Amino acid sequence: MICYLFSAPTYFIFSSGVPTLLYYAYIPTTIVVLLVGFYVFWNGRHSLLNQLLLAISLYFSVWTISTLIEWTNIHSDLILFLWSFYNLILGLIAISCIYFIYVFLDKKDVAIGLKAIFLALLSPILLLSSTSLNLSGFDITTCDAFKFEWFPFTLYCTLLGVLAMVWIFVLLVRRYHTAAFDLRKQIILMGTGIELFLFIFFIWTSFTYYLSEIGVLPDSSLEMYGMFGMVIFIIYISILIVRFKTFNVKLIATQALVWALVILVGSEFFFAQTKMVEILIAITLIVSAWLGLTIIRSVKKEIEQREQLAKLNIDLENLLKQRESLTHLITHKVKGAFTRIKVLFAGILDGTFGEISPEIKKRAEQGMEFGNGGLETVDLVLNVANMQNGTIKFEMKPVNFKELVEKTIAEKKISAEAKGLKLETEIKDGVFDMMGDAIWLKEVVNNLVENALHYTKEGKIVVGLEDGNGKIKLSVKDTGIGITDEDKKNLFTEGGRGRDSVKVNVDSTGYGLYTVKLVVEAHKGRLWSESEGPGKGSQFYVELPAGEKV
Amino acid sequence: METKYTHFHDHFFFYILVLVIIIVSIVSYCRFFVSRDYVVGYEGTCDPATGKCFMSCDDDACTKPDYYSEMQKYEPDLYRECGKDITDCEAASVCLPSDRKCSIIYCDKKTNDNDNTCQIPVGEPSDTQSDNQINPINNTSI
Repeated sequence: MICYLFSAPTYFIFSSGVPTLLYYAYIPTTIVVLLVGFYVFWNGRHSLLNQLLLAISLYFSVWTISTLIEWTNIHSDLILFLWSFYNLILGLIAISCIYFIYVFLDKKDVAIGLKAIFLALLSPILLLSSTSLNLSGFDITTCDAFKFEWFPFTLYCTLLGVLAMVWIFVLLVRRYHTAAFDLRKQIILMGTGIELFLFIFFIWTSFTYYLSEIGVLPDSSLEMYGMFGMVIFIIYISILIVRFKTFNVKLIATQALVWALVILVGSEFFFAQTKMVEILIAITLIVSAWLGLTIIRSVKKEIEQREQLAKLNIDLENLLKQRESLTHLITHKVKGAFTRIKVLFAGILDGTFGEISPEIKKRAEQGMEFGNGGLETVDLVLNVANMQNGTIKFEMKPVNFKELVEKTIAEKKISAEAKGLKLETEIKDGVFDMMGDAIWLKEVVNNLVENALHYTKEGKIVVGLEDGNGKIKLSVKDTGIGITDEDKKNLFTEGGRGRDSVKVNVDSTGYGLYTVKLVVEAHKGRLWSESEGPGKGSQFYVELPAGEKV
Repeated sequence: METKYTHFHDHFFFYILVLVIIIVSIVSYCRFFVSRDYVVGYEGTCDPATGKCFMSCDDDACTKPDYYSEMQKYEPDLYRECGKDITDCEAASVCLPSDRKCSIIYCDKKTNDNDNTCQIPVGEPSDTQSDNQINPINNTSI
């Protein structure tokens, strides 16, 4: 039958007898939704999340197109056929949204049990949608079937929407508390988008229809604004795409997406029939273009920074690999060469190669010394590399730090006296027991004293030790070349040396103080230096946590 | 976020859903396009001189009132009697013995819940126009 009071549409969906708002609300929304749905799907066809977004977009589009046809057509059989799917599509959208959020949060498919629940919730609609319990007739005077809908059936479908809202809200809130910071932001965006969509689509649509039925509203045209719920959802999806790459869509796709949205808004001018609508579209167009530009700019900048950072990361990884390779080379080649040289000179000195003259003996002793120095340098570099890659494990045992300091000072006294320097100690009374690796802690004291000896031409070196507030404080003060403010920045860095350090100490490697830093930090202590400036001496301090009594 | 389907059983519910939707579509198509198994509601002609008609007006002054009754007929019967368009079809405004489902609702205060008012026939013992009552000529055979 045909609705005898209405005129037939042109091109299937265009009719002068329907509100202009209908086209404004339905056509651009449907195109945008399909565009985003397919775009996201195209950029990750194997991703379940993308597939679900496409499914929601398709359900929604089928719903809007069907509704548009129902509004404009006059054939009862066609309208009723499409109308019979109305509640089914609502149910599918509600369930798909819940499914979508599960996959979004868990990054995996849901369990079979949950799928069975989804199907069970949909089953009443699936079973009844083609029966007279869904639709029993059609009014050809008003050209609709509202009077012939079974209220409990319609209510069930609306309640599914409400259930989806509550379900998703509970899911998101529960997951929000345990999520990382970045995911929390995504949860807020996704949650706001999908909840607004469900609210406007299900609640708003039903509520405005109800108000028009009881006479509060003159007609149900406000119901059409329910379509904008989907636009809101799509906006949030777009933000997720561009901000977090949730759907793995790249920048070019984002630009295309934003501009497509702007073009679509602009295309609404074709539907404008009044000045008011034209103004409304113009405002929307300007706002969309401005927002689109802003988003593209900020995203472009952010993505560039991310890519730059990623490139630097790769460079750094390559450098680390190169250094590892170099370390390997030092271990096997350089250290081996030094050892062989040392063995050679030792052989010369112990007479393995026969009697030697005093001149050769002197040269052999110098060679032996260079060999030892070379080995020490290689060991220093190797130690740093091993500490960084975690090869060296500190054996934390009870240690008396005072004994360790005294022992080191005793060993260094001869070297100090040989340079004409005084090596003094200022050890206050106290308890110096702590947990630590005795060998490496001794290396700390040794390195600091050695450092002071290298950079002090005359005067004295004072090694102090005191305790307090659960800390053991070691100080090494010298009357040496001092430290400039510029040098302080590089002092404890890998290979970091003072500007004039090589002038004073030609063997400076820049690894001694860095080793000290790594060991101190491994013992949860801290290290710092003070100096009043060049030529005014320097003070190095180490603070370590006091611990178990030895 | 690459969550991929890998096994057939992951598709199981999806296949069931698609299958049921296809079945529902076919059944709905047959119901609405082939067997036309539904009732059609419309405004039947009504003479205010003989029946209690619903009355609607196009303007506030109600210079040219429109009188009608609320009809419901089974679509195949109506289609047989009038074709696709019921305009100028007299059979549409009456219930015929061959109609399987047919009802005519005349103006009644209980059913008249919109702005329409009832027009009482001349000569009827009516006090006021609000004296609405149902006057069903209902040879419905449902």
